[in-house]
Amino acid sequence: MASHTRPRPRARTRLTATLAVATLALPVVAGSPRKAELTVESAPSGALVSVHETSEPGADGPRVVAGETPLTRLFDFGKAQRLWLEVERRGFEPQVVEVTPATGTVAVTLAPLEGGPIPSQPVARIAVVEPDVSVVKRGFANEQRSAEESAAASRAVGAAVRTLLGGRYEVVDPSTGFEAVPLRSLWRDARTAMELLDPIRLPYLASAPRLETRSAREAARSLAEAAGVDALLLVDGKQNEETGGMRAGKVGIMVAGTAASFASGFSRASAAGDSFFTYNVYLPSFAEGLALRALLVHGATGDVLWLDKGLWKPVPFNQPDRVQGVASDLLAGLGSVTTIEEE
Amino acid sequence: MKHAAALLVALTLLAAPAGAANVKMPPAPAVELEGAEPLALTAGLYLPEELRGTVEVVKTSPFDKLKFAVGAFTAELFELNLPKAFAKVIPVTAKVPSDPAAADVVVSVEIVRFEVTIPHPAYNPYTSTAVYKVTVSDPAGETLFTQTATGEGQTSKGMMSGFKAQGLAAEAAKLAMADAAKQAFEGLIAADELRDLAQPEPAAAE
Repeated sequence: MASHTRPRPRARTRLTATLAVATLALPVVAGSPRKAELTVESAPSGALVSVHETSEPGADGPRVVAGETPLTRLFDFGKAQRLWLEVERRGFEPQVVEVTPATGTVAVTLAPLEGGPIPSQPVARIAVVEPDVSVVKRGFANEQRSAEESAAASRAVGAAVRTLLGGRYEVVDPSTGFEAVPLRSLWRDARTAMELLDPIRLPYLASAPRLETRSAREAARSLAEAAGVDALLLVDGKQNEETGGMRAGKVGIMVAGTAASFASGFSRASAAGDSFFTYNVYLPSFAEGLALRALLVHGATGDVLWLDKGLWKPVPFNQPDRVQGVASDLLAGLGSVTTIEEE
Repeated sequence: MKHAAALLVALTLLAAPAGAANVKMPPAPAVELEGAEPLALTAGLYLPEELRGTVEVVKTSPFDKLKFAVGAFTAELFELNLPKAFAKVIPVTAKVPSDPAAADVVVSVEIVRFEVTIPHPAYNPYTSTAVYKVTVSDPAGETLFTQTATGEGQTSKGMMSGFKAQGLAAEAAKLAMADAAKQAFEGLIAADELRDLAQPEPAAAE
């Protein structure tokens, strides 16, 4: 007896009706479109626009940046159908405005900070504090910081940074070096600033962030004064390098894995009489690279004037050209500090 | 329909054993402060239950998480090492102690940031970053000094790492928190505000 698989006419009608209702109800269930174009303007223009899903954005943590005003972008308003835009510009009170897909255009008038415009902090003379770059040698069964290679890397980065800055600033090399005790205070606060501050947002903050403690600010002042400079540049970083043993181990494991996969595929195909088979090729990945951070501190005030950080492929520190290439990348945005002088 | 039910059962079975594993943290280490003399002050160490109970959860796969009891570790770290920064340390149960004469200052700690990277594949480096904010206030609760300090840790056993991944993650976290605490203690000892308090300047001669 043949079985019927087609729906009976009445059932088919009911199904069609259900589908029609579902199709008509879809926009109601899905709600309004989540994405809409929005234009953001500010007076004055050139303010940074960050996007938040709450009305009280946290100062710390990752953030989504839409760009600089004026801007027109497609925003994803999510299920909540609303977003909060934080608008920031140096010298002005930051503002948070709520927007919905229907907003279309939002114009923000920024109020100047109390106390009038922020005085410029001209930078003409810079001293480069000896960078602190660690080289970690990653072996087959352990890893350790190489003191010798770390010292060489620090010297190489310092030399590259001084050379590059030489074209834009007067770079002063204190003949007697920097005093150790205030230098430790300075590094302590500088490292935290490097960790917590966002290089993209930094130039837009209402006022320049200052080194947190009085001892660090006093250290910056005394060290800059002793060197006769306006600002101090600090650079730290870490390079992970894999040893020959580690690389050989990784390659060996991947070769063995590929061989095992080939053998198993071949044997399965032979047993089944198949004319082809598949196998996996395993490629080793090497966890190597260089992370660098640089921070410029104003000597007289302890203000953080500029910050940058980045990741690069491992660099041979005995090749000055390669080191300069990375340093050039790291210092690319430092020109914006000169703008302060020109304003 | 049969397939959907089978998929649902399979997903349930897959998700059932998944969960958050508690990472066993090593004991808090003694922090070395080179050539630093403790401040001649009695500090009340305020470590509220909220801090002690802080647990950071790191997702390692769609089904697995690792839980780091960073609050308990931080409390142990500060209880063990704060006496290196102050001549005497006593525990206090409030930021404004009931007996104001018991301590010259009250020290409280906040975990600003804690991150740990569990690498994939497991033989890559295990890294961690910790940021503490240490606040020193007078017995009336007025803030005298704050120090935010950053620490970093990295460790690995190379190709042998996969056998002890949780232990390595805990070790990286320990290194980062101990480094941050060391920076914070050095900052406390170097703080002009606290040094002035510990050694008040003699009154000017008439």
